[in-house]
Amino acid sequence: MSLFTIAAYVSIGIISISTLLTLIRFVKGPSLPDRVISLDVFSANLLAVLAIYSVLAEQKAYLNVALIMSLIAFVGTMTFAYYLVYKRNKPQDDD
Amino acid sequence: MMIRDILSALFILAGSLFMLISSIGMIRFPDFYIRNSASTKAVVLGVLLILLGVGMHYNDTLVFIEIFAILLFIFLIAPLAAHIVSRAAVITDVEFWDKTDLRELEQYKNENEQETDLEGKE
Repeated sequence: MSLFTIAAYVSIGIISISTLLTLIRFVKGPSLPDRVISLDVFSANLLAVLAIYSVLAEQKAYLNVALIMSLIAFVGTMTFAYYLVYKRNKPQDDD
Repeated sequence: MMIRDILSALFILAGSLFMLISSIGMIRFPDFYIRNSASTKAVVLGVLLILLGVGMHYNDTLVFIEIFAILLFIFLIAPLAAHIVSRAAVITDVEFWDKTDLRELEQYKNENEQETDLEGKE
């Protein structure tokens, strides 16, 4: 077990703790935008874990997965933002 | 060889520490807008450091190109997503922290009264 492997495992542990904190914010976030950005941070944490795990498993293909993950997270955030604005404007249109 | 390993381990550790700092900010900060700034900036820096560490470990041109693509994408979308979500939050009247100075926002809203359905009904 080399020095680098130990460092990688330690960082995966740190990122897991930060994912837990993000999930606490997701559960108790007072408003919907809070939950949206906590999902954003969650997906960034997932991306980081994927990058580190690709080193541990010696599989470069996981980096492609990380790229697609960031793409999908971006589309999700945009969709939620548009949904928020739409939900607010809709009752006015019905009046 | 050895130096490369140590450097890349340092980069990965620093990046994950930045991720942890951003999550602590997500928990501790009082207001949606302040939390949004914490999550955007610190997370981008953390991902940058971690991906640089991973690229240093592989030491391969193709991997560096891939990492460059991921970083370019993240640097493009993170400010964009933060801006759009904050804008949606302002439109839907999410509460500000009571110590926030809102004078400029009020002034902006008054000046653009007529064309400010900045929310734009489609």
